[in-house]
Amino acid sequence: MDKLEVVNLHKMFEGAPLLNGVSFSVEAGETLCLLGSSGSGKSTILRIIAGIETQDSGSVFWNGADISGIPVHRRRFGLMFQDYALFPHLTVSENVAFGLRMQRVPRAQVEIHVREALERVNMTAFSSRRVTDLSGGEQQRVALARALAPRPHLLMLDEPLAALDRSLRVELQEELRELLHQTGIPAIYVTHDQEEAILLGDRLALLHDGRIVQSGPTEEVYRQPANTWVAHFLGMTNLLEGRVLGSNPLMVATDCGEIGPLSPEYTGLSAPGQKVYLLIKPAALKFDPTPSSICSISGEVADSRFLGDHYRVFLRVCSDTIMEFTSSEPLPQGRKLSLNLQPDDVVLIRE
Amino acid sequence: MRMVRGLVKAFKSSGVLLWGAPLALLLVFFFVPMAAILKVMFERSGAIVFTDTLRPLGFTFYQAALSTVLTLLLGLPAAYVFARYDFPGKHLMRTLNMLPFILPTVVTAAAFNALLGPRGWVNLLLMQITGLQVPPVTFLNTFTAILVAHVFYNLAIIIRVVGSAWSQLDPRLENSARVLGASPRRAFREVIFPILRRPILSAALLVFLFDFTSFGVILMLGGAGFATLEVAIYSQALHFLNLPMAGLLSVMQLASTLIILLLYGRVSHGEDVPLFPRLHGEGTRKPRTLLEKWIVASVIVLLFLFQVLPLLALAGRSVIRVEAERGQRTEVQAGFTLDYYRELFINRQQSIFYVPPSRAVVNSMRYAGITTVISVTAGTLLAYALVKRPRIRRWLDPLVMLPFGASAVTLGLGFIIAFNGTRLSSTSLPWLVPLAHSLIAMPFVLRTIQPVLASLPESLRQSAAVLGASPLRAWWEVEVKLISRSLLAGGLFAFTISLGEFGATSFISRPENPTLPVAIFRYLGQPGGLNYGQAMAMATILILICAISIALLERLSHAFVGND
Repeated sequence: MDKLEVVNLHKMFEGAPLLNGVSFSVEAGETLCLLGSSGSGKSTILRIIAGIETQDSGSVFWNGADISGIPVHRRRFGLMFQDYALFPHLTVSENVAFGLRMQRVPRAQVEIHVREALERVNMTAFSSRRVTDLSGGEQQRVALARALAPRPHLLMLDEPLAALDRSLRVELQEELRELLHQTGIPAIYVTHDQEEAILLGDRLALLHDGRIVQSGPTEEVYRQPANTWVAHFLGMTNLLEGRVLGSNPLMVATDCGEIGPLSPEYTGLSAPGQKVYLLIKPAALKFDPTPSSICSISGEVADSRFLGDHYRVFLRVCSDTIMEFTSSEPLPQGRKLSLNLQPDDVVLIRE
Repeated sequence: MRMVRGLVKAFKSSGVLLWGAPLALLLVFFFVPMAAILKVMFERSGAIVFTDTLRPLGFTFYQAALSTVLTLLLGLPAAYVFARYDFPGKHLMRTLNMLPFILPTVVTAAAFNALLGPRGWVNLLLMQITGLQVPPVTFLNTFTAILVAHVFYNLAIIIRVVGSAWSQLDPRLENSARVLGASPRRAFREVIFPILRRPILSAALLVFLFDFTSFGVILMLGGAGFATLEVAIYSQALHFLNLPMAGLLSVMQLASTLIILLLYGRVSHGEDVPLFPRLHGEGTRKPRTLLEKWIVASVIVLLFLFQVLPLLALAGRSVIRVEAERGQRTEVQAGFTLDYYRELFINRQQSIFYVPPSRAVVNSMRYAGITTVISVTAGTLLAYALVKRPRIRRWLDPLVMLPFGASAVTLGLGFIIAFNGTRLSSTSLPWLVPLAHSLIAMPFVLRTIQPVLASLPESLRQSAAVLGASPLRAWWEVEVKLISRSLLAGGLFAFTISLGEFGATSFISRPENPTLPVAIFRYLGQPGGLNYGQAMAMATILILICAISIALLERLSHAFVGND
């Protein structure tokens, strides 16, 4: 079973630490989405794994063996560059054949593999075209076919959809997802777009300040962000600062009053007096009090925005904190509401 | 295999091999001659009369400045027309416009001679009509001739540099100025002109530099009355045998061109910042109003008169006999003839100094071939050093561009002083000619290859590596194939430059082994219709070779862009 392990990578960039102890792993059959803001060093990690750059310290293991000494061209990894880096002097099929030729695959075999790879990305009709004549989406497909054709042991994709417009991106996201699952090759997908990460990643790894701040199955990361940065990065903005009052039952004092008892799964995470954040899930707009409500927060509608199939409601609560919720109908500005939270609606995040 | 790997590793880590060899070439064959000039100057300073340098110095600046202004006057409207309008024959016109730029100065001189000289078409026609016995138009040996010839072969610089900046200017800039309320005139003044100022200035400086170092044109069209620094160096060295004086003039020439080059470097630095990539054909259109049509038409007519007509006159003169041979009492046999070409290959041993022109053709071709190999190899290595090693670049770049500023005559003078002692008549080292040519051609080759190399994204080679290509393989399969067109273009440049080089060659070629330009110069100076016709025939051959190479260069540069 193929497995890539990255252990404690360090890398300085222009005098400042860019990677500061990055560790994660990927196995066959899964896609790991490496998420982080731009400039956080995501691409650098891929380039280190590929062997294009060298780490200052730390190691990359392939099936348990340190591959740091193996030159780029002997690693048999696939890397799809952000700008695709298609060879402008070669045709589509010559581009796809390049990696196979490097492996000295017999010519007849090359042709078969090229055709297969182009079929996979629906580009057979373009095989003799010049790559400079292709549109962005077509180039993206050719780059993918080129990366896949030599059957790499590991596939790395560096923001492969960043240069495309939205509708094309959505279409290609679906295709990529299917393709990645079909091939079963372990894949690392770098992106800063959280929606893309949810769709494509079996697991997420979030890179911040040179470290992986959280990694795990996508759903788990979403259910329980490790810290406020992760919550923010994943688009969860409804945060209330608070202090733990008591751990049994778990009660937290906030500007909006005491909230609790919270779900007992957080009991172990916090001690009385500790500063914590409460994340209120956006789906939690419930106005009617129920017996299971743990608190009622009153607020006033500040704005409500139409977003196609739903409305986004901005609610001003407590001392001028704005929280976002979704609603199926518009709410007039200034309407007073009270929010009744269930235990499941509140996630406790340690500082 | 291990040895190869070791070599590659040493090559990579030291990198000295990369730029060391061409640099050594430069040191030996450029700096040693320059040092030799200085040495002669200081050792025998008694022969120097300082006041004699002032006239040539002043005249050099004066004629260069005036020529530059005139070139701009015609070149800027032409650049505008090429950048903004589509008209039939535009592509051909652009190619023809480039031709004078690479023509040997000797050919330029011969062309104007064929059009306006005492035996040129205009005078022959006027004499035929009026029955005069003396040519009515005096063009040769006038200041006008110098200016006209300078405009002739430098127009291309203005049209290329300014025109390409103009046509690459994002039309949205002008559009947004218009949307913001600017009239067309205002938009030009406040948006377009400020952006174009830099390219205009840098093109003008380049033209000034070429006019400043111009030699063949002044010698052959200006005559004895007009001595620029270059001509003064030439005559002090070869006619008066006053080497210290020639040395002083060379130093002045070198200092002046260095200042111009420094200015040029400062002006052209970062020239391409405000220009954006464009869609092909965006921003050009057919002329619509009467005024626009008139402007386009007059630019075409003027370019034709200035640039095409002299060349046609030359080619015509090489195949049409219009006067009696000297010494022949027969009637003038006007008409088509290939005699002049045939004569090139007939060995008429009339004097001991006689050299059959066919030998000049062979010499020129051989020298051009050697020059191409040396300058492309050295230029490519230097281009790699400059692109891949930014730390070296700071001092290496100005160093390798120095021969570009040094005039050909200075280089030739340095060569004979340094490598030939005081024997001015000949040199026993036949490879000195191609070496001098290589030094002159190398900056052009370097500047052809360097930008292409620099524009190759690093990711291409990395991507080849990830796909399994070894460093050597990735270099060969990706980089070499991508720069092959510019290598070819650089080679063509070098070949053409060597073929036409006159200034340095006139110093260092042996009398019995002339190159084509040297032979043309000699034949032009000899009496008789046959000699004149042979000079025209040789010049026409050079034009044809230059035209072919320009057409190839055009194709190469177009094909390379890919989307053009």
